[in-house]
Amino acid sequence: MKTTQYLPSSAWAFLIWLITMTLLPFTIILGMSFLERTELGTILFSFSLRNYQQLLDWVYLKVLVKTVWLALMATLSCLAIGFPVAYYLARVQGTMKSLGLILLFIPFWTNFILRIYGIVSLFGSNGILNQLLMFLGLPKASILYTRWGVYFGLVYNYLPFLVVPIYSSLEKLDPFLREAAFDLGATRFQTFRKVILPNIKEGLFIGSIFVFIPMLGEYVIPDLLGGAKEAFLGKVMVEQFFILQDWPLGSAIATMLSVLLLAALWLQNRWTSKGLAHAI
Amino acid sequence: MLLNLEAVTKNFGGFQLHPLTLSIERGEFFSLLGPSGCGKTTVLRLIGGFESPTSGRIILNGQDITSLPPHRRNIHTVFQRYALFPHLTVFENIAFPLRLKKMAASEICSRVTECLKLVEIEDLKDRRTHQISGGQAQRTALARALVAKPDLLLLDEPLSALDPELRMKMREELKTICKKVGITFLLVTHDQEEALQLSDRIAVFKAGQCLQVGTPKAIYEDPVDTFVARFIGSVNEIAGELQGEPSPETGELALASNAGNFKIKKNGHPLPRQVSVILRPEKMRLLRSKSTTQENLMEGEIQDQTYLGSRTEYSVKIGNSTFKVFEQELERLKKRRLNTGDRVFLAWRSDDAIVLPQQTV
Amino acid sequence: MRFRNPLVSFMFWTAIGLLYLPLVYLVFQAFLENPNDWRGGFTLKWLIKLFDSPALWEPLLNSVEIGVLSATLAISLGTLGAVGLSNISAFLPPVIQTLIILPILVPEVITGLSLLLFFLLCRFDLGFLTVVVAHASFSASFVYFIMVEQLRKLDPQMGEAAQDLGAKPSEVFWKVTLPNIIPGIMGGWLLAFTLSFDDFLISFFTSGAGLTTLPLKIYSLMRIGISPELNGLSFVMICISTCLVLLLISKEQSRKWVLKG
Repeated sequence: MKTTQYLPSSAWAFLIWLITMTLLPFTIILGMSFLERTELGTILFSFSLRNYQQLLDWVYLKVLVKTVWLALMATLSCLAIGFPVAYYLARVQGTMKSLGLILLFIPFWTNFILRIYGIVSLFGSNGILNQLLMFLGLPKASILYTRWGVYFGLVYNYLPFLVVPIYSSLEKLDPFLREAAFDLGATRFQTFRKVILPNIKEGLFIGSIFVFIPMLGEYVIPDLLGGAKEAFLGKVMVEQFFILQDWPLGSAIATMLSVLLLAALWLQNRWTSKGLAHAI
Repeated sequence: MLLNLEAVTKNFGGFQLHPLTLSIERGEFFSLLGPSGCGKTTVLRLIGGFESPTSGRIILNGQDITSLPPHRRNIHTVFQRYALFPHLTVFENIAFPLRLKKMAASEICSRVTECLKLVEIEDLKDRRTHQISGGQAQRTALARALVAKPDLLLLDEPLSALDPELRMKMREELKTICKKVGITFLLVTHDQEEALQLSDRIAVFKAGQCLQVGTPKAIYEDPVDTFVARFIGSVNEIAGELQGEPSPETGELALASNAGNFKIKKNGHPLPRQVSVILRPEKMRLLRSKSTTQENLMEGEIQDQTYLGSRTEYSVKIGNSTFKVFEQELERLKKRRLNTGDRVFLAWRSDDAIVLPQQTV
Repeated sequence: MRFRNPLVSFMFWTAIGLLYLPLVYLVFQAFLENPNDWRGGFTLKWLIKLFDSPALWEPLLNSVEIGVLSATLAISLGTLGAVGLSNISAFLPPVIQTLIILPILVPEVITGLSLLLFFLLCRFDLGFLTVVVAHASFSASFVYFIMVEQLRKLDPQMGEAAQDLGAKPSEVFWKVTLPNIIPGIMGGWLLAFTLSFDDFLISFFTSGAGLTTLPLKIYSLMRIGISPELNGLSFVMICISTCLVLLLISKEQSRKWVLKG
């Protein structure tokens, strides 16, 4: 007899909440993605795959390619910056470790909008970068409201989400693995390539996917840092809802992103063969 | 009788408790002894009400409690890892069952203080549970289970988490406390020495079955089978075949075995021809030379010796088997020093041999 | 242990420096006499002015109220779930596990949009209540995981011990289980509050026209352009956020979650 089993109804309160507040809204999005809409924006309750076909249209494909390209670049950059950061955190010990972790995460628990605003202030036309360039007599750099602005925004905001999985897969490695490799005559570089990397490559891959997919759906960063001309998948999706009033098409994009995410989750589950609770 | 188990069984997973019928008397210190996985803890949980039996009845004080939940049984438990409440002080932990009974504050205070004195932890009463040592936690758990004066106190391997020295001390105290409070104690343990030292009676379990119930002396000296004999104390075994009939004058009987031919005595039980003879190491004497006695003699050579301070343990190889035998230090010093490979003789009386049917396992 | 590879430590500290640069600059900016030119000198006048204006207090009050209500809702739901499921959480069918973890993993845009559609289809008026509910919908899952961990740390025999000593099942919960998970409840509440207080996107989608929270106010000012008021609000927001994170880190129960991002 378990202590808490007398209250299984309590679990139901939580599960019903999840079903109504998470599952139901997602189902609505899913259902909506198969509906049609008239020219005037009213929704027709008839099943159709038109929205998904429309996504294969050249206009949207171009957006998709551009977005994937940008998100891929940003993910790889996060990987390049995130790896040494995670490696440092995993190897360093004691107070420096906890200090490093705390220092890394404080900025990411400060408000998202503030972080964006910080970037705007730095890179804007009157931002400190340009004031500095002017001071030195150099021409202004226009980073903001171009795809570079979006790129910087993505890298800046998603970096810790990649540091965490790399850090935890490095932490899980047996510390004696390195010593064993050295002992067997491997150089530092060989140890890294032949011992450390093969053991964490799954972590790297999964971590990258979990950064890459949400990037595709990013709305605020392209909206605030990318300027009007830059099309971006997440921005296009939100605009379908708010500006173009095409809910079914917006829902189709949202569904696509969710399916990608679930697939990644499933993949991770298969690879790590651990419960989902370990995924986060 | 305080507690009666009537043909209680329990099946779960791959485990099966064979129909168990057991009676425990008021004021008794009773132990359930057996290796891990033998079902002794299951029996304890059945009595405590944490599991319900597949069949059978549990009677406490003449009342059928089989289907009562734990909180309605007047039985309290000292848990293996004590399970003290970390949010309460030592005092409040002990007061817990009394507070549940909505007892008057003054009454609670005096009862708890009395219990604190009994287990000698008065000065710890305001400590938090993480501020006390294992032994002190043990005492707190004991006091908490005793304070409401249960009909029966269950102890689930209570001493297993303590270091050896403390364990010895707590054994003494448990015995004293049991007699002082007059509450019936039911102890679950895998430590045969503990069971022998503490119990009035012991039930030995193996694989879901109760093999033997008896006083420590009965179980040690007259085990029902080779499992019980091996589990309690150390043993030397000789497998052999009984020859002929017992002689009318001495009651002795001939045994043929790999280690030689001996005389043994049957102790009442009907026996098959194929038997195991159990010889306790302390019932054998180590001789430097062959002597002429009425005793059984076995010749062998010293294979190994271990100095244990108060005594020395010798391994003597006879035929294909090895026999363990002790020699007290006082005895050993009087005699010739033995080295590995020396020829020696082991002598034992036919009365001291325990003869049991041969068992494969 | 000293870290021996200077290149890696250099990269780490550079990355940290770059991460802080925009935020440090925001703080600095709030004190500029002329927000568009750092050579104009420093002043406190913008901040003093801000503290007298409703532009700060109204959104701040909204944010705090929403945070308190949604955190309370999330802690009740998450704790109920954890109490019911902690014993069997490892054996839950994958569907339920996915359902619990989904609100944490799904990008906020999608959560926000799906909740928006849900509210619109149910004909709820967008506003204060929808934001509270929307915030609780994702923070309840965080709370759930914190509470499961907290419950797992409890000695499983403790509940049995209480029952054994005569406690009815409800007494076991109120007198033993609950007092022992209070630290977790406090940590979880604070985490849920912080999540709500810092949230922009979900509030953006579910708040409708009338309601502003602090992040929403900053966003709308940002669309207009850099202004002393915006800089001041950002400064206030950074101070509150940092305090909340430091508070969370100081609590053992929530530290792990902060460091998971």
